[in-house]
Amino acid sequence: MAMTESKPRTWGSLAATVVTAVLLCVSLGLIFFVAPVEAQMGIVQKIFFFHVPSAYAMYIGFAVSALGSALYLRSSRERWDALGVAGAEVGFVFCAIVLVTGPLWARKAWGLWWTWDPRLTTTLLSGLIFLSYLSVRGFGRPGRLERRLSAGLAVLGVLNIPLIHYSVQRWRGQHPKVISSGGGGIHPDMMPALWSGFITFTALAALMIWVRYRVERNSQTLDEVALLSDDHLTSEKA
Amino acid sequence: MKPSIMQSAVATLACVALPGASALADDGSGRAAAFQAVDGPPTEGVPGGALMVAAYGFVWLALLGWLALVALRAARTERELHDLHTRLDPLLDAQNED
Repeated sequence: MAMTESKPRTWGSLAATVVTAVLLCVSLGLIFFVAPVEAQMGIVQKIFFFHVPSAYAMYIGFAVSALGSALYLRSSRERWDALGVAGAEVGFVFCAIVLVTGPLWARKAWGLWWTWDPRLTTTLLSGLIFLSYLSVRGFGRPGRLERRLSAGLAVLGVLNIPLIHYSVQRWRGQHPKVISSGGGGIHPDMMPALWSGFITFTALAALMIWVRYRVERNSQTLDEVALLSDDHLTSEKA
Repeated sequence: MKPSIMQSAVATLACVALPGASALADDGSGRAAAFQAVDGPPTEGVPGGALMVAAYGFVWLALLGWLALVALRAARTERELHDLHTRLDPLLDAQNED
């Protein structure tokens, strides 16, 4: 049983962490020293450069969770369940970031903290669905029933992502569609910071999913071994 | 089984999220119903800088908080593995002697 990572895997994780950290520093530099301050909203518009990439990282997390969950429902292999958990947790973290940074920006831009706008509402809905996923598994070691139930939630929850993404184009609401189709666009000097954010948060989401997946796999392996050892000890006593 | 920090955090967030969102939603009652002149030079009513700092602060808090929870989970797995070794090693030693 390999409870510790092999050296190549450890070096790979370390390299990925360093690269992500460098990307994050570059991103912050571009946001605060290259991208100009927006004319109407002022410095609060800088939230955009983390808010939007966080939303895409949320999509990645929830999509990975749904993929792992679908494969788990099909094959019942624990590695897919671990992937589902990793994706759900990471997606939820970025969903929380979106749902907090958005209202902080909205307070200045719209004059209110929250409105039941289609995009905000569907994003909150996704957050609650995956919170349910985590809650189902959250109380003690999840059994087969809890795993299958949460996997079903993830597969259904991912169907909400197209609604989140296309809501600003299909339905009227408060949320702007700056960079999507029909939007007003952004200043060219802001593009490097935005693209850097997308790359950084994609790398960050991938790294976080990998780390969480490894921790979950170790936990699953430990459970298997503990169960086998309990059986062994019981048979020895008998 | 005692709920972990993650489980408690998830449960607390669930209890706060929906009522909080409803409470913060705008019902229109606070909006201005008349136009009034500014008295003196115009000032910023809502501090954009503070909101930006709060937003970036929350991003770091969320990411580092998640990292801390994962580290705690990994440490718990290590401890359980150590306990398992403690239980199994005498048994394996006895088998090897046989």
